[in-house]
Amino acid sequence: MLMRRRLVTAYFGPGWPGTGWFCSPYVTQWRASSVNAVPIARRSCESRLGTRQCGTVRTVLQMLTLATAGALLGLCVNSLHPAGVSVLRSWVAETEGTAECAMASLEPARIDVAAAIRLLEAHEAIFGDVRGASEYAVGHVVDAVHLPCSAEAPEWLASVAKSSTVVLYGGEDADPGPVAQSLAASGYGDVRVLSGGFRAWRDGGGSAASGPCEICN
Amino acid sequence: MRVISWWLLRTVLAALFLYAGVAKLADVRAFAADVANYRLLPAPLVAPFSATVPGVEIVCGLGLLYPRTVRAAAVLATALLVAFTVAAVQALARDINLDCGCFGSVRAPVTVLTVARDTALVAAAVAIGALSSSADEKAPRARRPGG
Repeated sequence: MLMRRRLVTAYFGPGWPGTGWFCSPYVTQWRASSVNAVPIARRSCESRLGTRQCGTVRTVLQMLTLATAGALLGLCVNSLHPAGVSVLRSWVAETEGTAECAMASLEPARIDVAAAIRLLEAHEAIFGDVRGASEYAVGHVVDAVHLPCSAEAPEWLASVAKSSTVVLYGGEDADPGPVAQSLAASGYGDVRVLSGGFRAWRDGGGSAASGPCEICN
Repeated sequence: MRVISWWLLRTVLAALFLYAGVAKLADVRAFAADVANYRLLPAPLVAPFSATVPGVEIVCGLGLLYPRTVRAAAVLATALLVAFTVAAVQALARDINLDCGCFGSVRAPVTVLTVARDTALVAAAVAIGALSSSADEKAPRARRPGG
């Protein structure tokens, strides 16, 4: 606002549109000469700042006006829209609210197999398998931990830094979405869901292992 | 030729901004989910950003069509597009596999092509601003009252 006020003062001169602006010489001149006020303000600005600088100030003022008008337009339409978002509430808090909000957040960030393989090879992510224990035992991503939807978050998960990247994958009957939501709500900032689940991982040449989860119990 | 190019660029960019803004406003919730997926903004800012940006895009598109505001709208369009490009680049750099959210419910993943398209649009917006500046300087000065 302060910058905008300075720009307005620079362009229109002092007293416009501050206190008493209606009696300012620009308006008096405008009323007397019955030409529109903008050329008068422009000439006044150009006499003080020069043509080029005045043009720059005018552009910045117009840009700020456009941005403000656009922001107000967006807020108004959003508030009138039946499916608008609540701008005063945190997005994460909102997604924890109603079922409708939960539906919107069922679209966690996804990651494809190639990118997930790179993360695994670089040891930059923790992999979580949300399928059943028997499916996990038959085959799972190397070093993946078992995080079934039905179970409480395991205690060891508390030792995992919230800044860690967590990649979740499921199977045909196991959707990692709710687990991803639960982790995100717990403060994990980078939770991703493997596109295509374990089948895509295997088909894409990802490393797999078999056997039960050793650290889960 | 130059005037035709300028007019064409303005119209195309304005149409793109209007379409993108209206599409996002039609489904602000989906756009907010896309914005959150970029992992650039803190959670409290996601909803206000998602509600205001579509309106700014619409006004920017209208400003590009109106001769007196075309330069300011071009500067605003450049700022928006640079921000979008930076967001896409950081998503690619961090291996975040997400939908662009560029045109509302049209689902398209962020790829190198997204960055290339945004960069081309930045160049178009800069060109519009530069051409409108030169046109402004060539325009005759306003007649002095009584002169």
